[in-house]
Amino acid sequence: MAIILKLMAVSVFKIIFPRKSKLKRPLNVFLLMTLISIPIISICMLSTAVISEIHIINQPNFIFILIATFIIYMNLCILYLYITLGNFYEKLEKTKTQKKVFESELKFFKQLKDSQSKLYSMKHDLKNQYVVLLGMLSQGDTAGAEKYLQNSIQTIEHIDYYFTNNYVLNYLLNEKKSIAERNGITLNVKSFFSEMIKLDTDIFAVVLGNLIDNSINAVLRLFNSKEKEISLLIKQLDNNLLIEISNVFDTAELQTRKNRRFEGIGIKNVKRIVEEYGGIYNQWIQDNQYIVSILLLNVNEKEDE
Amino acid sequence: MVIKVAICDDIPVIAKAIEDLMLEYDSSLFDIDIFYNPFRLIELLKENSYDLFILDFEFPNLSGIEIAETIRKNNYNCPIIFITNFKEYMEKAFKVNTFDYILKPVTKDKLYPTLNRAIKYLDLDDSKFMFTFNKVFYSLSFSEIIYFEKNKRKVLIHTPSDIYETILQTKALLSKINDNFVQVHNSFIVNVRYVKQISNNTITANLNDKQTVEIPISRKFIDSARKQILMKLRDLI
Repeated sequence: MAIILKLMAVSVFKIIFPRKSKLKRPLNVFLLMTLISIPIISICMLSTAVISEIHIINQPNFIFILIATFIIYMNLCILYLYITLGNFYEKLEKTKTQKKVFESELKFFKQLKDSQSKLYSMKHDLKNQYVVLLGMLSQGDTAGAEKYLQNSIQTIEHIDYYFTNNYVLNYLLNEKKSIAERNGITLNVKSFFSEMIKLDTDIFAVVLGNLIDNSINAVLRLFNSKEKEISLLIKQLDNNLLIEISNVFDTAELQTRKNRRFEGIGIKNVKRIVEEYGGIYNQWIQDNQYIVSILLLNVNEKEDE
Repeated sequence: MVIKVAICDDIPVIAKAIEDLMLEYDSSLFDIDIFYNPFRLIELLKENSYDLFILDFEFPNLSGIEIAETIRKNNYNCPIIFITNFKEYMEKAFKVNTFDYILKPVTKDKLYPTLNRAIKYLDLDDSKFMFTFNKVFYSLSFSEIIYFEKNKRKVLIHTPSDIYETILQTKALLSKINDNFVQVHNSFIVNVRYVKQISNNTITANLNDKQTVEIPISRKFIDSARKQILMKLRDLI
């Protein structure tokens, strides 16, 4: 028995000490004590049981009480450990979703940077075009200049669609529309809301970005490519803002993608943000349309007039 | 119930086309006046009122927003729908509380969904909530009831100006109300049109322009209540 105890003690020390040197963050004393006390107590219990077998202590009642206390204590310890672990996982989950949000925001800003540099090069081109125009005009070639201008107007017009006055949102919608069009999907957008709305960029970047991405993916999975259409509605009335996106989807996916039906990629983030804004999220299926509706209440900036 | 509609467009063909579409929608529901001149409409507004306006956004010497501003002087809530060529300017129309806009050319596909919502928004359901209290018979229109509160045997009926009382069981009350109402608590039933904000355990409802009131939501009802509020309000927005 002495050997067993020795072995136990050594292993406990081995577990604790090398760790201590590694751990640079403050140690949770309670957690450590609970962790250590479980093996110690169980060893004590084991030894009491063994001792009682040899009848050194002739008080069975005392031993029973002792064992009962030990067991209760150990159960409490396990409960405490369980709660600590639970908290830890909750924190981990939160960090994970936050990471996702940051990633999608980062992606968005990278795209923004790209378009900025595109704009910059366009500006540069424009300067060159002016030089050419000036040359043509000074030569008196008005017909040529006219043609040149018309050409350049055409190239500019094809770059951007107008959706809304909010330039961030407009940019995002343009990006998504071009992605959709590359895949042969029509993205119809109707937006009608006040510029005075009190929503941050993350609503646009995360919520709309995720919603449109999910819809595009769902439509891409369709076999018959007739109805590749996504409709997005962003509409405000009085103080309420409705964001609604709908797309045709394959109803067979209700079976094949059972688990993903409720938790599409990014939907968790969308729900979290909607909740933060005190809004309501709902998704449902109508005929073969998959519809996601988000209602945000009280979105108007406080009137300071 | 008839909805009084004013259509204002300086191009008679467009105005006529809208009228025809509306009559095709429901010939007995609308009482339509057509104006080719916005100033005549403004002139007539002094003695006349309408429930719904369908206005061209661009006039030769006036913008639709100016007409809307005149309308809003007297009536803050009636829906105004703009007909326009360019959606680029429409967000500017928001400050006059525009209900919606329709891009030209006006077609059934564009007009009817908007009309559907406008009709719902106007809340034509003129059924009343009738009850007796202290042997006096009362009749309140549902649109003026903010919420019902059950207090032991009594039901308190909260309106912007008064609180009425009656004796009624929850089941009987639920069967009497129309679909603007959502039960959020064992003893609270709220009119969704007054909902201003929702948090985890309360609903803030508008009492009048300035005051609000907090109504508790219980855990039992919160999920279903939130979904119901969303589905009811999305038909109106």
